[in-house]
Amino acid sequence: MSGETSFMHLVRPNVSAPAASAATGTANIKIHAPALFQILEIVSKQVLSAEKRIIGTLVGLRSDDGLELEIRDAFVVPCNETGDSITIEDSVHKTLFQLYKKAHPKEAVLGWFGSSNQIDNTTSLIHDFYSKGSDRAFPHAAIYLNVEYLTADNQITVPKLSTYIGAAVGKPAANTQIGWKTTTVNNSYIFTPIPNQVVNGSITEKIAFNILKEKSVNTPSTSLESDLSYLSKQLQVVDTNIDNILHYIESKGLETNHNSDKDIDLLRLLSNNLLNRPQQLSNSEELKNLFSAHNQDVIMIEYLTKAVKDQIELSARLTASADAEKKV
Amino acid sequence: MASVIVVDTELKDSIKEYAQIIDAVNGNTEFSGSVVSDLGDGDAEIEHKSELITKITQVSTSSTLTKLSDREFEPAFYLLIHILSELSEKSSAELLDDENSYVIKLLLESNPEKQALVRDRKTVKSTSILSILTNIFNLIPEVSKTRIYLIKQILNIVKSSNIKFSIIENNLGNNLINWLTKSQANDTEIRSIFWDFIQLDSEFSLKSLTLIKSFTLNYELQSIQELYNLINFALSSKTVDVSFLITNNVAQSLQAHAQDSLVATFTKYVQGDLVTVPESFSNFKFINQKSRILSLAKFLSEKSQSNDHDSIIFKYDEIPTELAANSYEFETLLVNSIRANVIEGKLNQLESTFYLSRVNRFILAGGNNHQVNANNWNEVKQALYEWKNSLANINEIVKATRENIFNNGSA
Repeated sequence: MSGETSFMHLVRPNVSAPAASAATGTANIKIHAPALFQILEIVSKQVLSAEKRIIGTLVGLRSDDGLELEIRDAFVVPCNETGDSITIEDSVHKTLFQLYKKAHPKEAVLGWFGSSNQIDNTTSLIHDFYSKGSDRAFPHAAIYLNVEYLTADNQITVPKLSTYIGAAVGKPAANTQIGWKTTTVNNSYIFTPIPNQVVNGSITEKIAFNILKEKSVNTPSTSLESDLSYLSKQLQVVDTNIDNILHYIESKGLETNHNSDKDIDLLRLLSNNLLNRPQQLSNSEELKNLFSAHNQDVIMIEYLTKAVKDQIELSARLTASADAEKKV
Repeated sequence: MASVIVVDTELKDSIKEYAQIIDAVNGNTEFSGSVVSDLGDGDAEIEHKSELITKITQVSTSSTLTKLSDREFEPAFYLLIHILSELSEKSSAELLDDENSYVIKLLLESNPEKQALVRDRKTVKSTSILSILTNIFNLIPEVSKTRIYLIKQILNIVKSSNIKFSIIENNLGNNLINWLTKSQANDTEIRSIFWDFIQLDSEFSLKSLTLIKSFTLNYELQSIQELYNLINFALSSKTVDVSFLITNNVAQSLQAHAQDSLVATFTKYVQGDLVTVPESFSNFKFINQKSRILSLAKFLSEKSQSNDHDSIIFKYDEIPTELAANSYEFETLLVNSIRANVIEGKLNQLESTFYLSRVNRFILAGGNNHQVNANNWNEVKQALYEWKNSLANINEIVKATRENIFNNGSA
């Protein structure tokens, strides 16, 4: 977690969800880049009609203590708003989630997202919908992700992401039992902002993203380059970077002028990392030596790991056979 | 983006709900009975709002509220905020934006003074108080002076209740100065709050060191006490190489107080000279070890630059005896240095040599180090040029190999 936020978040507030443990630390939400694109695509339909609310379900992973949440995917759920009341098409939500669950059995509903400029009673109603009932965030607390990208007069701006958790207000949710049904009465929440960060999942995703960035969208096929031309391309990139640094140093005349704190930091970074690099490139004899030493180290480590592994296996077998003898 | 309270029920129902909470604590129905008359019939407006406020504030004492369990306390408190703001016809931001407001006082009184016993594990915890305080902080506007007061109170609670520093380290650390400036805190306040915050860190973590650094980038160290704070923190920390702390501002302050013994020791320490610690500094646990590591790094970097020495290979017996008396000690010291991320390299125990691949230099800001830094820049430039040349060679080899593969493949 990094960066400046306008709000303070130290401890996750108490939530009414039964499975949520007592709060002991900061909560944090990670939004995976593919999920974010999905969310942005869905909420961008808001521009079609400002009156119609567009919401959807967030799915992903939740840590054991409920403090770390990872949004992995999202899907839209149709809803109809008339005046103060709202109907959410529960069946669509259920079907889509069941489908998703088949492919990702370990993931669960985390909460919901929407695009609105303010938090009001309807927000609280929808939040309540996601906090209770099966196939939703219950028995954990739901989270709410808001993407604000329309200004008050319906102009599009840069999307602003904010994430909230709904802490309970008032009496603890009492379960009133009427016949077979158990209903929980508590529609009041205090929406507390919690920090979020967008993460770029795996290395493969990053590589794919880089290729996408280079190729224009309409290129019919992307051919992967063979290893060597990729290598020489990367070498060129490093070469340009070195040129840039040299240009920076020379243009500012850093050897003679007064150094600002930033320049000192740069100098520290460069001299800590660059000087004393072994001169392997110019001295092939040394390179050979170091390489064989390195190989020997690797073999040694492999040997040791194997020895330890054998030991463990042996002891497991001995225990097993001792147990077997006892039974006889 | 701030906290928002959304209550779905009518104000009257909220008051009844709150009355039930209070009655449940007291074990009678007194309060519910007494508010019924004030609420009036049906949908009619509440007439005597100010009297009702007095009634509610009279029963909501810290001794009553703290009888609630930890899980009940926080929601009940938010409900109280909501009711009071509705009754006094103010927004919750207006209600809370006052250091002496009843709500904030009540909350601070409710903070448990002692750590809860295992027996009463349900009692209100300090983390809940912190959580409510942060929500109040988020409810009031950014420019409000009350925010300064709240931050001070939060630091007090963290200090008195032994809350882990890691909870506040990230969020508060990254934003503290920013928030304080927005609330128009004056220079002295910012300084004192910042150092109070830093001193809560009993682990002396690297993160706090970087916070100190970014603080010194913008603020000069005015008093020697501030310099002491910095030095104490840096020397007590487990981080060995603290040269990054010496910004222009710090260097200036170090120079101004060069006569002081602690300052002099610190200056020696960051330059990599071996520091022998007087008795009075015994509270710095690691300083002897840390200083030896830095001193070794200095030795290695100086030797590797001198012309009459091989640049990367060091024999065990070259190492000065004050750093390591025998080869075993030297190896331990080396391993420690590598773990401290000051040196990188490889040991060859058979030939008792050490191959150095990287060592930290001590790059310090300030006028005194101007000449040293100029030399360092020149060396860096030279290294960059060498790198560039060798890259060009490699690129040629790569290209030639490609051609080869291509030609052989087609043949």
